[in-house]
Amino acid sequence: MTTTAASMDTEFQFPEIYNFPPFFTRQPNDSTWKEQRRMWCDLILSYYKYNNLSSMTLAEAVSDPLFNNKQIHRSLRVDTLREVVEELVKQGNACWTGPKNTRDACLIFWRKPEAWASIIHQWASENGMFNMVFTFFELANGDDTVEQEFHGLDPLTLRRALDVLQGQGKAQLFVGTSDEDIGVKFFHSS
Amino acid sequence: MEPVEVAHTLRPLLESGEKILCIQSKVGLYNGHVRDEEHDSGTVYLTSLRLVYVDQQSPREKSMELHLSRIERCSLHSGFLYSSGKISLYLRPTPGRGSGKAPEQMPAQADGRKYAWVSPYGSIGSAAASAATAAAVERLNGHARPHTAPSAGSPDWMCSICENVNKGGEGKCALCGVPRQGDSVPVEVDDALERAIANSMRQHARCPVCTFDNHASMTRCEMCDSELQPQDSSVPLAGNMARAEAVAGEDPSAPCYDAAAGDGDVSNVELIKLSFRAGGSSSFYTTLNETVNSSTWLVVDIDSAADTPGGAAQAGAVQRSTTARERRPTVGGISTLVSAAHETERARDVTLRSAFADLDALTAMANEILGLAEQIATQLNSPAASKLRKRGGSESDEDTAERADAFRQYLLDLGIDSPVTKDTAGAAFHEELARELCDYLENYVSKCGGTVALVDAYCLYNRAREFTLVYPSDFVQACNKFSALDLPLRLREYPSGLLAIEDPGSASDALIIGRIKRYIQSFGPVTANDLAALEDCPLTLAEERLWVCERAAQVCRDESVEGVRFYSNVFVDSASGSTGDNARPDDSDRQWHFI
Repeated sequence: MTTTAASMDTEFQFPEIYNFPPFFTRQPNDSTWKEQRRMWCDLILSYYKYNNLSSMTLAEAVSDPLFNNKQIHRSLRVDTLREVVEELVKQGNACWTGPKNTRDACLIFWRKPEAWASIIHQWASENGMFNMVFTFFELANGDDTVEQEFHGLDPLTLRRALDVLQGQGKAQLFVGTSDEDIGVKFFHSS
Repeated sequence: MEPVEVAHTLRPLLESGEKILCIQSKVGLYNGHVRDEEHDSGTVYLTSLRLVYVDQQSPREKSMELHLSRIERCSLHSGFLYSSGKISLYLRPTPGRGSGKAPEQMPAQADGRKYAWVSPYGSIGSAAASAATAAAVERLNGHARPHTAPSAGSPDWMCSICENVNKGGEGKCALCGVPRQGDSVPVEVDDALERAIANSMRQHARCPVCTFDNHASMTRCEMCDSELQPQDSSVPLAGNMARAEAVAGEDPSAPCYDAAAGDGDVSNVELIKLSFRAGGSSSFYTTLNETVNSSTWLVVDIDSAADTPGGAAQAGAVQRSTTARERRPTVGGISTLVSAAHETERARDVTLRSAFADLDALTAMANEILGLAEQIATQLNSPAASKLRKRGGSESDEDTAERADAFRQYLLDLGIDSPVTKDTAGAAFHEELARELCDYLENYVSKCGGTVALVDAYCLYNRAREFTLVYPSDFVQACNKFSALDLPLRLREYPSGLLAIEDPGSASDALIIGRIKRYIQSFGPVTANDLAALEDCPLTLAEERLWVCERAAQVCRDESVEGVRFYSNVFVDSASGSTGDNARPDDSDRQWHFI
């Protein structure tokens, strides 16, 4: 904890519970486990938000500092992590990616797609971007969006957010030959 | 019978040297031939001294005892259809039995022992004999007796079913149990007839097995070859007859003679019947008969009061009277086959006995050692020992006393005086075993913090039982009966399958959890090993206790290569009390960096 405090600018500051050894053991007691899982979910989301991360491969992630506390020599097991992610998926804060039923990789939404969608739509209305067509690349990496929070957003997350907008009738997606080529047009909210 | 105290486990309190020989549950008492509603269901204990009846409903108020010395003889009536097996106990009459209430000193027992005896049954003679001939015998047996039966005055009647003549106004026939019909014939008992029957009885020797009336000179039955009871007055089994003859001469010294006796058709031999509703009467009878005949209480008396000469003399007399009769060899026929079978059996018996002779010797030695231990214990308790203790320096005084106490405790732990066995307890075995277990283990369990693993308890208990070991399955079954018998211990099965005997008062989960939380607070996270050392309990039990805490969400675990360590449950604590967050850091840091 002292090291994290010294280099606060660059490194994520872990909460106290991170140094509590039982935190890394899956608790057999149900009520205890629910609390533990909630704490892990919170920790994962805030860590991913801080480092602006989105995708996670479970087998690799367990060696990350997030799940492997070198100070107390404890690390989270993969199956326990999978249970935590399962809970995140249930809450809508994550989704499984990769082959079906393998549950080896996932996307973590530290901000839910719905929230992203409203941020993007907000930006479009503020900058008078309605009825104009953008490519995904323009939205995520273009010069117009440099100042925005969603600049540099993971394409999969962006796609989820725009799907939400399309579902609300606030945008229209144009599917090209590949995922990179997808275009989008924003509308006034009806 | 006399009211008796019972221990808090509802077993009778035994005197020193007294042993329980047989136990039978679901026994009802008959007061003469009348069912005693007050004492209708209970457990009867046959000890080497007494018969103790412990009532099922209210054991503390209604339990009674009967000293074996009071029993003159007993007989067995096996059950038939709805009537259960019964044992009749014919009691020696007490002087002054007309009042029937006052405790009296038995003149026959002049050896200084008190046979205080309150007998609510004393004033009640047997109201009806089971058969007319039986009544005649009874009459012979007793001389003129006061007719004090509750039914006095009401006429006798003949049962319309079995034609048995019943005495008094009882509602049921004493023989067949059928209620009295309206048209049953009142009978005037013909004294002359009875006398005639009795006379013929005296001339014939009735076979006790097949009831064939043999000629008086026969010693074995002509029909079934079984032994006849000789009519010689020197043999105690024929004592009734002998007595009858003696009394016929109007012996003025007869203690029970009552000149005011009127009708004289009621036998006054005090009779108590035990009705065995759950069976087991025959085995009980065998043991009872053996005990009564061998007069074990006299042996105990001699042991306990060796300086009274009367007791020894009496014991000798009894021994002389019980010497076995010689069997007369017979030739040919069934009896030869039977005797051949007997021979084979006897040979086998001898082989078996010699095979186990070593064991018997070992048992005898063990008993001696036990006696020695008891002797030492009494010496430690004696005033001389305490004087000795006082003479020692005052600073070592307490120490010595403590050591003496500990030593005494060891001696007490050495053995259980009369362990319950399947032979003695029969159907009530598991209940009785549970009671004895509870007696024995209660102190130990509370000393061990309220919980003892079943395996430990089993070893300890079996060690105390010396040679009559119990099977593990019986042990578990007995433990399962704790709660049903309302005893202070419980058998608990933990989810992992571990069985333990618990005293729910001193080992409730809440207490254990509180204790473990305190340990964690003062010593930091604990492993099962640590807890076993702290609590001084077996490792398996320590593990179970931690799991109990975990299930109650009071601790949480940390599994690592070093093993499983238990911490106080920060997860739930922080969720339930958000205010605790401020207070935690110093406190929790100390705990978490324990490793």
